[in-house]
Amino acid sequence: MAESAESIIALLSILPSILPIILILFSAVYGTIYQNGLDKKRLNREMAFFNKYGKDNLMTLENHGLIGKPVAMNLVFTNVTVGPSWWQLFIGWLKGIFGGEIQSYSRVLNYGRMEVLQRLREKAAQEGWDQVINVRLESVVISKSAGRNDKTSAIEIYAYGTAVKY
Amino acid sequence: MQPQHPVQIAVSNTETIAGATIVQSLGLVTGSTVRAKNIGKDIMAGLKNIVGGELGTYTQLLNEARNQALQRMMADAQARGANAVVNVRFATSAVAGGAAELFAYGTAVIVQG
Repeated sequence: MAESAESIIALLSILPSILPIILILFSAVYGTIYQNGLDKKRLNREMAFFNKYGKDNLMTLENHGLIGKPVAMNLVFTNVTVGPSWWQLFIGWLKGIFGGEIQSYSRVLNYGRMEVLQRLREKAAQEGWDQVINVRLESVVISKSAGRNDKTSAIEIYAYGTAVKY
Repeated sequence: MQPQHPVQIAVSNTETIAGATIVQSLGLVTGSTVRAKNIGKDIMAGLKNIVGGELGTYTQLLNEARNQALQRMMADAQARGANAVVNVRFATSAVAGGAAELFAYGTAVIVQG
């Protein structure tokens, strides 16, 4: 009885030193599964959207005369905040030593861009607009607080455009 | 100051308003807000950062803040007697202390027709 209690105490005492390793392994395994799931969900939503409407309702052009004369318009915007996982940060840091493309970051940003555009499509369609013209995409690094070692790293990506009805 | 009722005027990021002609320009209007993220949202985002993907608490916070910046810009335009704002642009900058400034600007105009 006393021995098992001792072994539990021993386990607890080494826990703080092995916890980061456990978390980073968790991040590598579960994070990858989770992000694959997110990608799949987004792709399914895109497929569903194109099957329903048959076309992409976003364009960066301002010249709506190409399609017709709009009778109503309004500004629409959507956003998403994404962050790389600890594992991806670690891989990125390693890659940063040698240079070249950091695929783990590209992947996160790519997901964010595609996601925010899909949200804009869905939002505009749900509100009954026919097209979104003059779409602009911007991104900003947030949560880099001054003078503090901030563990979170987040990038906000937002998209906006003018929704029009013909 | 947040208006009691949301301002409703035509807003677009194009140079024209559908079915109307611009008869007068009333100059540049702006709206901004600086938002700090709170510790609860930080903790949630920090935990979510382990697996990556979307940090939903920040998304929501920034979306609300951007909406407010837009509302302030529209209130500014309305105060000048405009009935539309064209060529709206958004800008966001991270300022010190984990806060972000959300900024919207455009040209206030009077449209007819």
